Amino acid sequence: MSLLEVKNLTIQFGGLKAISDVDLEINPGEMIGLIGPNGAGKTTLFNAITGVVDIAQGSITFDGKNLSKYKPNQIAHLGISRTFQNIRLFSKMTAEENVSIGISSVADYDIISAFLGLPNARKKDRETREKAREYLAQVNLLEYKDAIAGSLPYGIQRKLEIARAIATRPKLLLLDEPAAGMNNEETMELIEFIRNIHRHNETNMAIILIEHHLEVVMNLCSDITVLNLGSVLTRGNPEEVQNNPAVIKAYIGERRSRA
Amino acid sequence: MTVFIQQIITGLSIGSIYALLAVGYALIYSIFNFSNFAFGVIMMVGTFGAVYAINWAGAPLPIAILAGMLVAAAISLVVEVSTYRPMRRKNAPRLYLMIAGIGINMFIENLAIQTLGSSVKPFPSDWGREILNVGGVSIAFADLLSGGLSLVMLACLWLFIYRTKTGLGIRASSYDVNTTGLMGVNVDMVSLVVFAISGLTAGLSGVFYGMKYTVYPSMGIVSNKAFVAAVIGGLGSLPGAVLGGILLGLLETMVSAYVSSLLRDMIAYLVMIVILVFIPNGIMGKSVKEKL
Amino acid sequence: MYQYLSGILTIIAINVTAVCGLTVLTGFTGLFSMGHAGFMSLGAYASVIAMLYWHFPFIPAMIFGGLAAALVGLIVGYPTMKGKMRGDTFAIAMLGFSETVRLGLSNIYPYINGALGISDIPRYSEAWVVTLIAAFCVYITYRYTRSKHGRIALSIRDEETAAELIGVNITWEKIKSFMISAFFCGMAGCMYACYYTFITPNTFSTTTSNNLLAAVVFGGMGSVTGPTIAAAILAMLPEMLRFVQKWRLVLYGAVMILVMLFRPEGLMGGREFSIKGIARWFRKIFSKLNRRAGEVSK
Repeated sequence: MSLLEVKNLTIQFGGLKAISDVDLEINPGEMIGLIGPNGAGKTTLFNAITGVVDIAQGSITFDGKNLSKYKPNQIAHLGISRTFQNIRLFSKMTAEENVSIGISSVADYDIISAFLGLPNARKKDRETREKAREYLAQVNLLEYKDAIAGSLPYGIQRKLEIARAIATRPKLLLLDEPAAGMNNEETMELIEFIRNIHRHNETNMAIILIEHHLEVVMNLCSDITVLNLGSVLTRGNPEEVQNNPAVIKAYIGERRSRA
Repeated sequence: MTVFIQQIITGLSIGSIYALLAVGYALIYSIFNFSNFAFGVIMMVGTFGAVYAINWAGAPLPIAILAGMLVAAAISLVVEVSTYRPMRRKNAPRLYLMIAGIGINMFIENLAIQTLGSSVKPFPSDWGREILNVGGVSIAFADLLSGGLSLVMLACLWLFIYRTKTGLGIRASSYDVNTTGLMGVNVDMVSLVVFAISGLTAGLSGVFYGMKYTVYPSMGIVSNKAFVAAVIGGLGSLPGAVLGGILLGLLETMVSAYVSSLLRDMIAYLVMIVILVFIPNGIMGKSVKEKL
Repeated sequence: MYQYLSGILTIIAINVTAVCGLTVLTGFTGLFSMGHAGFMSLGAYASVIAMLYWHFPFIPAMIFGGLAAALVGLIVGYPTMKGKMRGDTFAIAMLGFSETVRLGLSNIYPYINGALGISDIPRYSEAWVVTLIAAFCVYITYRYTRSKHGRIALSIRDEETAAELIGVNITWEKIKSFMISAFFCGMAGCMYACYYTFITPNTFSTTTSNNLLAAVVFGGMGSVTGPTIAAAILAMLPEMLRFVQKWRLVLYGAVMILVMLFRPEGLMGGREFSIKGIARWFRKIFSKLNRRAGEVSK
């Protein structure tokens, strides 16, 4: 059974269809790419999966559950985690604290223990802290554990956001343009980074990757879906997609309209 | 029946003052997306401007009203240029702008109390208190004037925003200030115009409020009613602000007439809270989803 | 002299206790309230009724007042937080709330005498007792903000959407912070009533709410010790300087504007006051002086 199944999904903003009749499927452990020109509805699809926008028609099923019944925070607990186009770290908190919110987003002891700093609370806090450090070590960010997230270099912030997302131990990770604003060298490093977390995780995590840098998607994903104007244009392996005239037209058409 | 009509007219006249105030407040909110909590003192200073124009310069009432509006506009601009603009430049969170607004409110209000005295003064023109009698319904001149001039002001505002090029810039800014800036609209200019208009409406409504009731340094508290009206109508929506203001005026008058004047303000606030619970975005507000 | 000092100490303690609550709500959860005087008022009335009519002793009455305020906090907080009310709308709704409380109490005559208020309240608020209570409140607030609960609240303040999408139940976490803030303010209201021995619905006004907010802002959002120090200073100044008494609010307003313009992070800038921190600060200044001295000698 597939992990995530998006069926005939339509999303409307006012009278405008941002997404119409989109199907998408992903199996546990897979990594697929989602590309398309600006305004194709890629991020909107992520927003629908994470429960941030309302679905007009169709359904999203995750692990056998219909997601429309769940609130965004509950969807996160079901095992979907994401990053954002514009980095959304808890910028005044340290890297370690960012990751530890990912590890347990619900306090695991009561308010009274928190107020009085009772031993059980301190013990739980210590455990979370240790786990957070483990995660940071895993992604080679341990040296930044006490740095305030907002003051870290851009590339590190991107990685930290991914680290925070995987700290929730998701079954499905949604990456929204992780390489945005990076130079070539940083991008290559990021590709390795993503490949690494995809290979080494405990939950057989699947990844959907939105990316403008085609080389990132081509490099990482064996299966690519192309969205254009809110519907699926084509899907296939990198080579097929690259040589598809419709894809080239969609991208070039966009470039012309921009100029 | 005449009593009821009388109440409706009173309600509409106070409602039009609220509407005017609420529009001035909502205008800034709709474009810059923050609450100008200094709005109350802007209104108060404008009202005092009109009072002193009469007391010191012996100005006739129309000139005094104009003076009040201009003084309010001037102080509104000072607030924008000295505080809000530098803060926006630094990308300060909305919370900080609101707190700064409260600071301005505290500063100017208490400065006025210390220098002008906290006593309540009547507005130095009796013209507004004269009564016109129409078929058993008596209407104070101030009510007529405030209702009429408020409508004129609202109409001018509407024409300006929807029929002029500057207005187009303002409306564009209300969708996305940053992008509009990139598209070549002079956002600084827009902000000056917007704050000036907001000040003008505050001054005008302050003068009417003063004519109808009294003038005192902490009269800026009336602007709370503008916030309530704007929230009821839907924060950021100008038609909503007008509607909210008029509804609030009618509600208050009806409550004082048929329930108890002691409960007037409380019911106004309660209605706001109830409306917010059931329609969190107000009557005409749009649900604003953050862009991810 | 002793009485004068103990008076100042009591006022500081009351202010600090209330500010502890607002610190959790505004400084750590990012919700901005213009109406927490309403909770002080409710707490004061509830505890005074408990003392006068049901003969509660001071501490239980105070906790009862806090709980009553927290309960109202739940009733008000549930719909507002659930409707995702925030920012300006929330601030204005809270203003409406405190006005509703004030006007509501003014119109209830049985037990509480409407606008006349209640007098002859026993004077339980001994300086040393309330100081101990305030110190305890500061300590537990500090512990709370350092706990998982506090960190989750902070994540909402920093980036609400991301917090929600990572699994934080923002509605419930906000209600929690709101109830905690109401609880502290309610206790402070009781301490106030038991110091001045009378209360009216107008005792706790918009000015009270603004003063609490000013302390949190001056002290620094995201810090507990900062607002505590600020609350103490703000409570102390008007008592000590007659001149300041009169111009106090003018000064508060001006400082509020200047702080927002030039140091929006406040006195402590989200950090906590500690001996280590002071040492670090001195070291920084010395190294700066050294460097400058070095430059001069060159």
